[in-house]
Amino acid sequence: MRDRWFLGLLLGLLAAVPAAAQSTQDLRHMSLEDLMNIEVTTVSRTPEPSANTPAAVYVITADDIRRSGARSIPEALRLAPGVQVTRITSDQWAIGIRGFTDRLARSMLVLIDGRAVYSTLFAGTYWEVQDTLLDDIDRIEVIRGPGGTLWGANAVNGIINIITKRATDTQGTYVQAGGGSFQNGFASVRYGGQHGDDLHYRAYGKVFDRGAGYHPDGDEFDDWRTGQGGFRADWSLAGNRSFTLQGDAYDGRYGQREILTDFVAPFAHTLEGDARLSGGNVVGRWEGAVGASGNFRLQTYYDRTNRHELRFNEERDTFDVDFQHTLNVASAHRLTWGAAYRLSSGRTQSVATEFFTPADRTDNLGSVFAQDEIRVVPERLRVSAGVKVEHNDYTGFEVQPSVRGTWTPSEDQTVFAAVTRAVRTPSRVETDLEIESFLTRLPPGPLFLRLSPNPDFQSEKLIAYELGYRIRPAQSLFVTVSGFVNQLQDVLSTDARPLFVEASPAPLHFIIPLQFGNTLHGASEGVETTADYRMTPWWRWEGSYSYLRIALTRDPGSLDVSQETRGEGLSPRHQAQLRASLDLAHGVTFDWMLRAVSRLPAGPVPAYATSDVRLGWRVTPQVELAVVGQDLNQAHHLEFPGGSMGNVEVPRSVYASITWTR
Amino acid sequence: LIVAVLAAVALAPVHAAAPVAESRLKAAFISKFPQFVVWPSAVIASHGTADICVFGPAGDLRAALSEIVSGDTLHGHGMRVREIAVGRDPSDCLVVFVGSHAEAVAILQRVADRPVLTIGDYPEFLDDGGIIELRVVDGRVRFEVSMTAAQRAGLRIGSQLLRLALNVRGVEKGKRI
Repeated sequence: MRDRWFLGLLLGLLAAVPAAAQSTQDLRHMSLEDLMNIEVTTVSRTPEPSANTPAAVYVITADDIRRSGARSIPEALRLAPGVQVTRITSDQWAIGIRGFTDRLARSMLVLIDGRAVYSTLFAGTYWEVQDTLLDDIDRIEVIRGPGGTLWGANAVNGIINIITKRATDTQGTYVQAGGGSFQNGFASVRYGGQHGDDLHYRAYGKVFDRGAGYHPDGDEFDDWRTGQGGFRADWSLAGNRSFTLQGDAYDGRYGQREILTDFVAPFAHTLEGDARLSGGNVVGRWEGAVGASGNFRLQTYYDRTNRHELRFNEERDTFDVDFQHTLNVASAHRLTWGAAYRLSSGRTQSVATEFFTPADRTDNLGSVFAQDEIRVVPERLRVSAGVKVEHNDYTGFEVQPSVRGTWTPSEDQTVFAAVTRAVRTPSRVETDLEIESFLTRLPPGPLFLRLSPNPDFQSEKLIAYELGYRIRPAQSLFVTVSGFVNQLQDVLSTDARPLFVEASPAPLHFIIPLQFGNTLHGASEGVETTADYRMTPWWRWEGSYSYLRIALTRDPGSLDVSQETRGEGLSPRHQAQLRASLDLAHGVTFDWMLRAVSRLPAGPVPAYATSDVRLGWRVTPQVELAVVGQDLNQAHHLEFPGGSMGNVEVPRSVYASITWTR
Repeated sequence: LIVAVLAAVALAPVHAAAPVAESRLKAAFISKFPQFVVWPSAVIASHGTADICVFGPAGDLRAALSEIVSGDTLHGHGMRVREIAVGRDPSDCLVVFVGSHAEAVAILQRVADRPVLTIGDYPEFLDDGGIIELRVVDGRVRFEVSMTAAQRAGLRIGSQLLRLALNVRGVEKGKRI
């Protein structure tokens, strides 16, 4: 059935193909905007802004996102090589870079316009509430590997930096609506305007309703709906400076299923219902030139998140201020330094078998960093060295140095190497949380697992050795290879101690005590390679393959019972993808993406391959229609283990959309 | 599937807008930039012609540029393209184009605080102190602007130009790795 569907699509494509070749342009009478759309016949030098960056960077562009058919930021992240994007339920994702993927991947930092969205309660990113109007995203920079020196703690295995467009780039009206199976319905609207020459602004609103995943037991608890709105204003100021004020607010209902443990029989209940998650943020950013050759950025934000889940509530206020100054010293040195402070205050309410002590806690985080980028040989060799010193309330001072170098032996190739230290600092989940989970009934009484807080939990530490190579062997081909070896120390463990009996609260019950610790160490290593091939001006291929191996070992005396297995077994050893993008005649575009992921032994999750297809048709310059098929290769497939809520699979789905811009 | 896709290739003729040689396209960009730049009025008054000076071995580009700007005027003065030797003082030019780092340093030092629009097309041109850097990204010509350098030269860059820039230095977004 699927094959016939493909065939129909391809026949449609063939009909659309005859494109008219245009005659030579009269460059003289074209506007700058028109010129920007003309392709050059000879491509040389820096093929991408990222080509000289001394790190494994992949940039997902606005065009990539639009053409992928992605409806959420996690789906868009599937475009980046070496990123493991898995959907646990319809409304929960586990996303990781270079390993340690989990519902809340603790070693990856995510920023949206400079605002850190890492949760310091549970150590990780709640992807279901990280959203914006997708068309407002200018680019997503995905950095594989550590970036603690510039970005701070928890940028251990990778950084996802989401940057939205300036308000000058979103002038006019934009309306999009659509729906289908799984994507039940969605609508977005944006208006951008200006006041005088110096103030540009936009405002947007969006709503969507998404269906549940595939449930072997038929219990479709994970459908969700949410609404979000926001704005951005950019002022141009005198002296080549600018000020940006932006903000967002969201409110949604997210279907959940949880097991609630109780000390009275039957000891465990299944809770099902909607979590209500809401929040908002305001960001102010002042930046521009300072002195003869420098520039600065002063940014501050306030962020509020409310999580009213089935088993606990948290309300958190975060206030952050960050200053950065870059200056050229002589002609060979580019010096960047900065300082930042963050205050994050959370209040929790929970049940007797899952609670934080203290319930409310305010965390302070302060840091300073400096980095010098030296042009050793102009156009050929650059070296940068830097260090960040950070102070947090859990472990005190943390030092994160790095040395990176880029060698450009010719215009068409670049080699980079880096040695970096990064840390993942503790969160409240390790130091303040107690959870009881009912395991089974023994003849004398019930048996529970009890996770106790560990106030002595230390930072997880990593030293990374990276090497990368980028080459353009032909005008139409761009290839990158990067490899890394990470040494891991004080890695998170779940340590179990001997079982004991407890009489209170009644009835008499048995406890297996667990505690998060740092009793694992090990290494991870991997290789990622990408190729971008422009077969013809209208047909582009992109492919990538990544290999990852994680080996963890228990320290002498370690009592770890689960993290060694999870750390090694929840990241795929092999991931590959292939994309084709075709620009056909009459404004028709066709995109196809195949991704293959090897098995996750700790799930267990079997290996799978699936594909997405998008057919777009720009009917008029203002109107585009699109039909998108997602996860097409099988009726449903599992991507990540569901844990106590049971496995939920990703269904095959199709949706259509109409977009109007003016 | 693959057979069908291959058939699509065989049937598909060349895509929409015909590609243009890189040097010609860059020349077209260079010819447009001055329209978005405001020079101090005294500077414009003191010049008889509006000269775009091209340094070094950029023969194709210079020829294309001459062809494109012939007959055009800039702020009331006829535009002219001149080839200029590296040792010469370029400060009577309104626009200077430099094609490589080797030539750039000496030239940029001479005109850094003069009202001269400097344009280059090699990586790190902005690091050397230039104002507009052309580069090819994804097969299309793009440019970066250094507001810091423009300010030092006493030039005002129009917001329409900044809006189209890939990046504007001096109002930098994000962090550098």
